[in-house]
Amino acid sequence: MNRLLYFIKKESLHILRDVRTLLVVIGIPIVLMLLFGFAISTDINNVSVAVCTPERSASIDRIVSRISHNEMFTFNGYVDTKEIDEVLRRSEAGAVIVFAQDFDRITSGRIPGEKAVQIVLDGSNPNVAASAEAFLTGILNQSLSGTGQMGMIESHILYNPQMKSAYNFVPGILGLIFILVCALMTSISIVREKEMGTMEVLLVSPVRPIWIIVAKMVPYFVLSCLNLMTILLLAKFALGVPMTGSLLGIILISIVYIILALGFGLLVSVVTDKQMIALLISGMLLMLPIMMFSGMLFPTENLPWVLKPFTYIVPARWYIDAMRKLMIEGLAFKDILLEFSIICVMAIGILRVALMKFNDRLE
Amino acid sequence: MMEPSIILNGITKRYGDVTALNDVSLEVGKGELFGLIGPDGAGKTTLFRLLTTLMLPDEGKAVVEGLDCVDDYLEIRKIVGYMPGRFSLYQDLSVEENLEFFASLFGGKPEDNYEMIAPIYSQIEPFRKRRAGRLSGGMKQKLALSCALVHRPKVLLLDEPTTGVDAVSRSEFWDMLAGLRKYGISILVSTPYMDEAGRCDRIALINEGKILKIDTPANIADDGTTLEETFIRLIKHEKGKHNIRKESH
Repeated sequence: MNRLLYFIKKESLHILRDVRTLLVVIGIPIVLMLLFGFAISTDINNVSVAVCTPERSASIDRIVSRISHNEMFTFNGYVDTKEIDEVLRRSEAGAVIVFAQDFDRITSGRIPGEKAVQIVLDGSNPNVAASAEAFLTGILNQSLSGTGQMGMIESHILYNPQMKSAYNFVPGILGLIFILVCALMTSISIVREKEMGTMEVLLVSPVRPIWIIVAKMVPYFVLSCLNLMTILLLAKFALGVPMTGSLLGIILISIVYIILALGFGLLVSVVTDKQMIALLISGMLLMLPIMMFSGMLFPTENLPWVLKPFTYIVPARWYIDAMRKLMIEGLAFKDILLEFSIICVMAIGILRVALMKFNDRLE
Repeated sequence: MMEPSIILNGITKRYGDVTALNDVSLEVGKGELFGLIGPDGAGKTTLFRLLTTLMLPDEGKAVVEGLDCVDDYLEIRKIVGYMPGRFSLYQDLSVEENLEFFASLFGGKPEDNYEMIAPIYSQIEPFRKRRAGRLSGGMKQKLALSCALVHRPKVLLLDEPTTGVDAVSRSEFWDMLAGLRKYGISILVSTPYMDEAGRCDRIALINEGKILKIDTPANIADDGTTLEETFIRLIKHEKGKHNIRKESH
């Protein structure tokens, strides 16, 4: 046990002494999060709003004036029902508010179960649409709050009903970062010993491969947990990701995924002899499939059928799916059991193979 | 003949078409300082890697302290101290961190066998906070030797420890090896330098994977020739045999 602690200490020293790499490893998640969070800005300005109403009334005029006084929106006149699609398509309006026939009677509760207002949005820029929807709904709710009737607004987003918005990237970034930090960094760590010749001395000692692997994993594991914490805090407080799902589930599945990523790095490390090759393998063989097949950039449903099977063997796909469910859809741990078990099995498998392939001789 | 510590019996090792070691047999006695003298590419490093169980022989049997190099390799790794030809310590760790780490690999602390490494380590101790990568060549060798000795091995295997080290440090290094005699450690050390052979109890001359002669340095040089001349004569002789064999085919 003491032996292992010294080994872990030594591995940690390697990491701490290489300050530049350490800063990159800690900095990348923050930079990526802020980049994806704010470069794809959800701030909106001057979204033009058209109104479609079968009749004018005092309450409708009040709502329209509220919207036109809001600095985020410009009121763009009244349109006919048939023109809604037309104005959105020609980008004359970013949103159209459609009032129902008998708006006043519905809002005062005399026709129960009817929707009073509909918001139709141009979803070609999903972030603008999402914010506009949120703000318009807010304004309408405020205006209707006096009537004591809620849930009378129905919104439709055209063209991009999935509403991929900025915080949808967070699970993807998590999936990528752990591969980056865990797999890339650990893949170098064993190969470096081979290249420097220290592996030769290390092997001529009672230390067993499993201890080498564990000792190499622990510091990167700690570092990754630190990254996980930073990302979750940034996601929650800087980007406003809902994270209403099970927090324990988020942490648990992330930990298993981190171990899986570490296992990948170690496997690459064990089978290669040069740092350069290890980097290339973990870069090309791990990063590219994650970007392509995990649903991080493109929804997996949209892939051609020949490529679809690949998504099932990319661990990041399961992780990102699970994290979306937990962080954005707010589901409970039991809803991600499938993803969780798949990642567990993959992690155990990878570690076993890495251990098996560990050569405790030089040839 | 003293009790053997290392026995090599008919060891052959090939890398593809190249025969690195060809039917090598030798014995190193307990507590003996045995030199392996030969030019680059003679097969010295391969021999060390077989003894340290890092490689497996194609033919023959190697035994270290009664343990077979193939079957008992895990046991052998506990009792040998190995210093590879290339400087193989952690350059980003300090002198004392390296020593502490290598002691811990064997489940000990540097203090446990301090009196044995003291004559060597005390020379670099003033620089114990310095990173190993910033040491001079001579100091690196001393640190590497300290690390190889820190778990008090029964057998010390040193692959060209003095290559690339200045003359004064080389001489000091051999003094240190001589100082280890009193602990009864068997030492197998290789070197390409003829002048160092005289510091060994016995030497083996090796060239192109074959042992040409095993004897005390004095016996090898006693017919009035220097060690170097003997070596060159033996190599030529071996080549001659080879040529005659070729012609007879």
